[in-house]
Amino acid sequence: MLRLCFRLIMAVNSETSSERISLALCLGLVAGFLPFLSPINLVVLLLVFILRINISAFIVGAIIFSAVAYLFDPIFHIMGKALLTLGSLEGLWTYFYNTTIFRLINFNNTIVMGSLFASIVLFIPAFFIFNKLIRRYRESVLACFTKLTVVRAITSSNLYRAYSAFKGA
Amino acid sequence: MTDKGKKLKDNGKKDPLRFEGVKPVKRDQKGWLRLRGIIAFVVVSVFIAVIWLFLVDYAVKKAVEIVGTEVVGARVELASADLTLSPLGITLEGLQVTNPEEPMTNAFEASVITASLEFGPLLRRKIIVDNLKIDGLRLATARKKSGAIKGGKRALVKARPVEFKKQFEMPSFEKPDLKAILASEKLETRDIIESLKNDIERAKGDWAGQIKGLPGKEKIEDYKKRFKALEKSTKDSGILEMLVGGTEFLTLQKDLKKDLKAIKKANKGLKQTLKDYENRINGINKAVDRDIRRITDKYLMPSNMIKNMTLMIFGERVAALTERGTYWYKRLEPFMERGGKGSGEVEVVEKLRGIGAWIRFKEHEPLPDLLIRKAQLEVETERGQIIGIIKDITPDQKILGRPMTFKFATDTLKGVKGLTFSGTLDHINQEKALDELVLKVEGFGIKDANIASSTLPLTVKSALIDLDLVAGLKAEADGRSLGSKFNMAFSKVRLIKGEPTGNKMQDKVADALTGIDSFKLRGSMTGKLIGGTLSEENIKISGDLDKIMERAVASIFTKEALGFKRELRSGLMKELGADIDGLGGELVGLEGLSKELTNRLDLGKIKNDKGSEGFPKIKF
Repeated sequence: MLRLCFRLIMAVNSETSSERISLALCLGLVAGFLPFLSPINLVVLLLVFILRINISAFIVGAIIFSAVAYLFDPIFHIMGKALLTLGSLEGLWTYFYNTTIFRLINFNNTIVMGSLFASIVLFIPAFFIFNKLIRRYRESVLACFTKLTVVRAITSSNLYRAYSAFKGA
Repeated sequence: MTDKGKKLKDNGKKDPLRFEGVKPVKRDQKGWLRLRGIIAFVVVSVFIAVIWLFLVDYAVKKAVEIVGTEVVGARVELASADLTLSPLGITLEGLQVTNPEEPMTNAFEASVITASLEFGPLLRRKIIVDNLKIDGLRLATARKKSGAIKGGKRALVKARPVEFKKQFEMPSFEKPDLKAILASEKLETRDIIESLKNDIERAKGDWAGQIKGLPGKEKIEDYKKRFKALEKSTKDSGILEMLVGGTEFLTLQKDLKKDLKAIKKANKGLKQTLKDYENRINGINKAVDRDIRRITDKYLMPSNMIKNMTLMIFGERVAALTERGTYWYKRLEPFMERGGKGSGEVEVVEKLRGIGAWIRFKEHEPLPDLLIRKAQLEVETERGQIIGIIKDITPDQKILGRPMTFKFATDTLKGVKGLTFSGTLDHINQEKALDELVLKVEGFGIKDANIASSTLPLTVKSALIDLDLVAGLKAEADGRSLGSKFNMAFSKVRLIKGEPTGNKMQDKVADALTGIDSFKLRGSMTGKLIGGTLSEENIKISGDLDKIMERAVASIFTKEALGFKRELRSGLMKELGADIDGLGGELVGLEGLSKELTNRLDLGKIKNDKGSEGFPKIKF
């Protein structure tokens, strides 16, 4: 876990595109909110593999949002139940209920529906929020950090240059 | 993400966001798609599938044990489980289901259970078993370790009330402690005496007050004086005086009559009250008789029990079998019927423990969530194998539209000519649910068995039994009503009496029964099954043994009962006799009041002869 966190910090500190880290965190949000064994998570996993995003960010995000989801389960249940029992959507749900693929993903479970709905609704806002936060971090915290005399002294030393050259080799 | 080994061109400008120490210029210049990721995904998926295949058997084994234990309320164990993908099916080996009532006994165990599943419905979370085969099914086998679990559901069937069990207890004829009985029993006689005492006391007060308001001796004497004065004044008087006297006489007579009428009425009422109390006092004897009869019934033997000896002897066994049947019915009920709406409506099926709720919608081709189309059972008994077929096992009969049916039949058992056990469990419409069972046994030979009351010192050395049993459970507004009827014929019976028990009744009955070689029983049982508990049970068993046993115990019962009743009466009279006699004394006060009123009436009588103290007769 610590290793994953360090990797995430390194990614944030590196020049990896902030959008790719944000997208990874958002996919982690979906995977974390949904029940662990939900077949929808397989689709999320496929996206994680085929999209060029930061996997460490995805894993850390999934773990953090799983813990959050545990606390929010009652709310997901209420949301899911409200959606699934909404009269105007009954026709759609009935169609899904009679379609094997939707039955496989357990859409008619209140927690699955509630958490899926919440993660879809939060996906885009969360993407922009994460993106902004990473940028802010880079502009303020990281920039200040790099300007520190000690850091400058260390990074301009021969030893560090040699280490960087070795690592980059 | 950047790829290793590929250097980016440096345009010479310094990136303000770049950390000085970090490797320079590694900006994401590649597209968003990473097609090689598909290979990684496939590898991961295959890895998960392989792990699943390795673990699924263990998972199924654990699931069967955990869910089974929860449903049965006692330990359910499985030796192994094997899931096969082609053809799709499952094989369970060494299943043991503990009897929750007897944790050292398995309710049943099965050597091998094989089930073939339908793949399509499984994707829609429907477990449809085409064919289930249970081999080596054995009932009531011994366990090596106790199968009890903490907080097991053994209380599903509540213990029978004492009064219900009492009807099968054979009286011992041991004389109970009379003093203790009289001290503890609520006696009707005692209540009547107390109530009479209070009533008489109250009546005395009421009547004394009422008599006080009536004309007394002084007033009647006054009338007498006025009459005498009038008599004197009218003697030798003229017509005018006579007319005046006549008018006065009539007024006086009217007043006197009115007063006397009031006294007479009161006296009549008082006498009626006295008569009522006398009747009530005389009625105490009947209350004594009732107390004696009730106590004799309670402590010695109900007087009608002697005519119901068959029920007393066989009832316990029948009740125990019914109780066991009820228990297992309650356990298996969830597999026959699940609450909820029909397939055409949206339904919320709540589940506990934070795993949410499942919402069900109308299905175009409705199928139950669980359905075993056909189950073939091979039941192994000490006498041989019984093969049975159960069809359409599902908790969603309302969706399937067919009832569950079963039939077990054999004619190859040792010592049994034939056995058929069939039935229909129809829960398609829960409000009209009807379960019917028919059991027919021919020539069932038994040896060294106990067929009757567990306390009766009697063993059946050998006998042949024919049994016809029909039982039904019908849904009603407040539960299910149970009705059953049976006919049993015992032939070639050899009964052996065991050691005397010391209970005269049991020994006498055992003596009487040892001589018979055939008998018939017929009976019925009705009751209500509410929330898994059988109540309002009514067991009737009769047969040609009734007369034999009645004759055997009648003399002993009569003798014992008479002696007990005699002693009881003497004890009762000793305790309450003085109070009963005292009631007569209480009435004396009321009698005195009545006498007083009679005297007043005598005073008001018209004088007929010279010697009397009554009113004078006036001649005009």
